[in-house]
Amino acid sequence: MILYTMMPNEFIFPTAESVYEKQSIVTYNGVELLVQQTENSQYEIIRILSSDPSHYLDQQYCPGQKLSGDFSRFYQ
Amino acid sequence: MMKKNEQYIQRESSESEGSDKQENKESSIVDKIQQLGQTNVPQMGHDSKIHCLTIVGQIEGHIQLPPQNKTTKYEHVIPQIVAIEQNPNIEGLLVILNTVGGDVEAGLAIAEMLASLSKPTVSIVLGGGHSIGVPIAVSCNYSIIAESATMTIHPVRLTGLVIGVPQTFEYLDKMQDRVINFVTKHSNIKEEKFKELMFSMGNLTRDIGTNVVGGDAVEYGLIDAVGGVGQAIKKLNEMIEQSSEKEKKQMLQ
Repeated sequence: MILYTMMPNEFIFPTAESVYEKQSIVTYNGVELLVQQTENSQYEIIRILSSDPSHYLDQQYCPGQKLSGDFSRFYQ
Repeated sequence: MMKKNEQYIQRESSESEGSDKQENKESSIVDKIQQLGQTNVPQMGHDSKIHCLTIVGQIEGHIQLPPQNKTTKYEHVIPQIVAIEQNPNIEGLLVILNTVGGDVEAGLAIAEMLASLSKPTVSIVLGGGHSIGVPIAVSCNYSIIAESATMTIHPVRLTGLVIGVPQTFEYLDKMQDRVINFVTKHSNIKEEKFKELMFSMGNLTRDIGTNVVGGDAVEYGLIDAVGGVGQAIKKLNEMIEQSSEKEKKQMLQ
């Protein structure tokens, strides 16, 4: 379906608030991560937001890993 | 003759020290394997001197996009650039682009931040560096594009409520001039050529603009060279060495 309108897609088909709330940016061991809350209220890493390339080689920050222990909320 | 012998003896002792150190290292590694079941990930010395910023997906503006989109959040990228500018261990920045574009203001904000960084920066355009990705790509000291990558150059678009007065067109023109001025200032492309690419018809379906592929971008003077990661890091290391040599010269004077 092609919509001929100036309105951006997100205004025509808005996403529910609940979808936004599941994702958040946290700082874990000094590395900024984009995480998503899974069913059993664990946090799963979606993406690393750090600019240090060595963080991307570290297995514990791989996308899909679950977070454990303490982490501070950096931004929500 | 005495000197040579002394040197020979010195070298031997340092070698035996070296092997001692190695033995200690090995035993600590074995300990680690026994305790944790793994060794450490190989470290590249201390902190890496080259940091890497990825500009992917859509560049978010003042409204957060739905989570299934891949986005670049400028409110996160800009403090990162400040941190990179301040950190004395970081000597260079590699900016990797694969973006469809996005918000003009956020894109120009990132581009201006990168342009005003005092450390050497190199950008690589992989896949696509469309729309507002063009200013970000040229904002770095040296820009590289992969041969198969493309950049779409098109006029600024407006979404939302539009008031039907001539001033709206003038406003759009001003917004466009911002982008044109930035790109022509930070690259070798002429303003007439850039405007010609921007307003050309028949290249894009149902749109005005041009899709510029890797080699053509270099030909028009938009991007400095065709290449990839290897060339980018090599160029970045060269620039880091040059700037550190310059500093030394200044200190001597």
